[in-house]
Amino acid sequence: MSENRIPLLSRRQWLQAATALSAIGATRVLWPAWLPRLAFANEGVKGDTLVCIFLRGGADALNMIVPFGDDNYYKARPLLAIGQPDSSDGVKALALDDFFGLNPDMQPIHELLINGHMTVIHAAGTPNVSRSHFEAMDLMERGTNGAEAGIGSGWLGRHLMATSAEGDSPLRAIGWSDKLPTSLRGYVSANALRSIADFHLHGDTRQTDQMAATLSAMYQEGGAPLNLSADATFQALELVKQIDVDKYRPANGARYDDSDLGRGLKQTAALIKAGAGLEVACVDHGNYDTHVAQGRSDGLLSGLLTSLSQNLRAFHDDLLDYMGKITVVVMSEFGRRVQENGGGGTDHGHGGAMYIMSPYVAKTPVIAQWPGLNSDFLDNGDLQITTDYRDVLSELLTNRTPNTDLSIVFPGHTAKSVGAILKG
Amino acid sequence: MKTQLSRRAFLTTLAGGTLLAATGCSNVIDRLAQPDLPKELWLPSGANRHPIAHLLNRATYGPRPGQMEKVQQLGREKWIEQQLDYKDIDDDALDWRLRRYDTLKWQAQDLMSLSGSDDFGGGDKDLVAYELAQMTLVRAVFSERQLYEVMVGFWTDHFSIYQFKNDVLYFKTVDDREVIRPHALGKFRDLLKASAHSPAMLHYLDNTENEKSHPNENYAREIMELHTLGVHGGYTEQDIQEVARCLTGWGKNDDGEFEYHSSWHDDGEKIVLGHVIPAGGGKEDGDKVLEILVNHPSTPKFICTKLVRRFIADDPPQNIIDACVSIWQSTDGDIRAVLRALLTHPDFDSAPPKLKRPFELMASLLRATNANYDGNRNLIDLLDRMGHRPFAWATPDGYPDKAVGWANNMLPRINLALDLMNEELSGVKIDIWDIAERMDAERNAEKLLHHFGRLVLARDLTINESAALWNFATGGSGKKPNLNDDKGRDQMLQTLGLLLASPAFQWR
Repeated sequence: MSENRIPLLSRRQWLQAATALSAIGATRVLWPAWLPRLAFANEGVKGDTLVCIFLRGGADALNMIVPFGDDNYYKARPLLAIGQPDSSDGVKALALDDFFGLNPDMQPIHELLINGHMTVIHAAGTPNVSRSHFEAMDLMERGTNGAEAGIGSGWLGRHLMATSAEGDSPLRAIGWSDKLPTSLRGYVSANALRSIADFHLHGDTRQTDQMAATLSAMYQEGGAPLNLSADATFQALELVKQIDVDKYRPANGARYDDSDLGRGLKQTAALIKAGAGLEVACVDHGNYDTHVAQGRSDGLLSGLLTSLSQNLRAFHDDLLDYMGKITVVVMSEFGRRVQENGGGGTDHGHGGAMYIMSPYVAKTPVIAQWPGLNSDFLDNGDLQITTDYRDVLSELLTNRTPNTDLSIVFPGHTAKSVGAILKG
Repeated sequence: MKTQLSRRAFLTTLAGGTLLAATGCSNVIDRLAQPDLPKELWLPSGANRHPIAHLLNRATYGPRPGQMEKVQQLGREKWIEQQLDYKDIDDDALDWRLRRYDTLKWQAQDLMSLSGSDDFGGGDKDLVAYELAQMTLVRAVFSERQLYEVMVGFWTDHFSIYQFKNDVLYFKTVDDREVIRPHALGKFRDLLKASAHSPAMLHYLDNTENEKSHPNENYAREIMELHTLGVHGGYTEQDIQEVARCLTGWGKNDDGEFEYHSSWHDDGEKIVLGHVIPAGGGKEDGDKVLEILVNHPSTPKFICTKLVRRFIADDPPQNIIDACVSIWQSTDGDIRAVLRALLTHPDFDSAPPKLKRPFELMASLLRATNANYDGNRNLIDLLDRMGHRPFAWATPDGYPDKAVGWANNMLPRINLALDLMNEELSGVKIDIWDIAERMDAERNAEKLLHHFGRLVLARDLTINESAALWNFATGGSGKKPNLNDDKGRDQMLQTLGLLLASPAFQWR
């Protein structure tokens, strides 16, 4: 080809290509500046957006959902126990029922639990005996108790693979972190993003629009399935470009804090409102490994619980109009030892608690087959597990997503009903 | 023009230079080990990709500048023969690059001694896992034994082992070195036998737990479903139980070496796929099973289908599978003979596009630009984020080999090319202007675009490609970027980045 015969797009064609890409931007007048909207092919057919919050380090469920009706709790924790709701203790639990109370630092979610917007499944966790953080987190995120061989992908990764389809949003699954969380492994299109802004075209930042237009023009002739997925990607880029998290104003006076959790939930909320096709978001919180100076209202745990519950409440209030299509699950790799240790803290334990936020939870603040804290009923000094975490997650997927084949998600596990999450 | 040491001069330098043996000279080694480019690069033209580029896209990790003309001169058949006789190919420059990875030569026992990792899985465990993955990428990019490396990748997927299951990673380094690599172009029988004696495999698929009183059928199932017969290969659940019985006691010792524990073995009679295995056979029960599986007619069909999928098409054509099976049968499963038949098959050149998986995309980008990669961890992390870190596929079926498994994650693929051209991949250096000079295009932006297109795509740019790219290069104004100033040169680097990010480069 002779060099001076390169066909040029006309100025008009060029502009058309560029405006086609930013057509979504034209709807901006209808929405707040930070809120573009975009309809992906599969929007509306995939069930709830799942938001999975992992409390890293082994959260002390006994001091979060306090079994104030169990005397052994007070015997085991002379320093750390949270007082009974009607006691004169300065740090006392907020009653959830006549046996369990909420840590006062978690007050922001008290109302949600009482009014049926959230529920807690106590004495839940992985039946595997491991008290190693790494192993227990790993097993839980992979969705196995260790017996199933070769399962290295995550439960959410397998769930996403099982329900993937052409036309899925490129922003379908996000872990708000540097590395992909283990739970999302196995779904190759999952994103590990520190922020929404991480989802952007690299190269010369002054020419991003022109680069996108150039690529888009080439990918239109790129052959299936690349043309389709590239198209979805360019749309998502355009969408993300318009989401300005700094200018994001949560609804209903909701306030996220500046923790990783707060930022992750805020960005999750922005993507949900933007209709970005988000189906799974994973956020970490912690460090819950409170071996020393755990404290009551003044120690390491207190700040974490305040942040956790404030952000959960913010997310709920911010997304009040969307909660019918959102399920939040909070879990940790294990609970902590019943007996407090000599350092004002607690050591690695076994049974923990899971928290579900959704308008479709059972109208019971705490669901528990309480095994008791009498030493006869403990599992090596730890709270027994009476609900397998996979039962909870299975119920969640079955009732709130279109996934019908949980044998792939939790291989070798036959789920039992928990009664925590109802079908909508 | 830049001066570059010739290969001969490089080797002489290495031989005489004890200095280089010292650590801390990695960058010097990298520079010296970088392949020479010809003074004038050959630029295929025409509407369709040149057949040699097609061959190199399938049988290697992507053509390097200058490689097509070498193959052309040598002749395709001869080049294939050379690649099949991989041991005769000089790979000294690669070996120097690999010297920085200490753990590659260690025995399992030494690797396990690194297990002083903390509770959260940090520490030295990472070193072992990373070094094996880094080595794999360095080899894909720089080894002259390209077909061999492609086949090592194929068998790594076929006998897939997830590095991060418990202690598997300590043994996977040994498995790669002593199972996959020695037999990748040998006889399938030897490969299967080596794999069945591999502590990494036995541990990964739980045969280390398989004892008479508590049989574990995991490996027994997968060796038939995934390694030999295929899922519809004609075995029953009963066969799985019987194979598991035959393999009771096949495990490892505390040093991480293969060991048969006779006290764990079920010594009764078994019937596997209709073959009676008499009682009292001990360890040989398992050896007999391997022989039965190797000789079963489903095995060549299953593996040849996968080979044709890897080299030809997502939906492998039956006639090519049949040709490969027939060669397999007449050569007793000689992998080289099968590959020869595959790569010289009359339908090879007309094979439909295959989507590059992220690892292949990364290696081919580095090769196409003659990039110098210092072998660091960052690219492994990047592959991890793209879902294709070597040895990190969790299930034993290996990474997917069809476009649908990978196509919906486009942004990281596009960004990879843009980062490469903007020198934003840490530890990766490129010199496009050196390549431009060898294409006689260092002064003319249009020529640079078109020649670079011909270099990396082995055909002319399409009208659509050149229109889109030239519009970008000129800012839609038709005004040529001036290659004598930094602004113009940068604009062309961005343009060439977009070319490498284009759909055409996503396909093998």
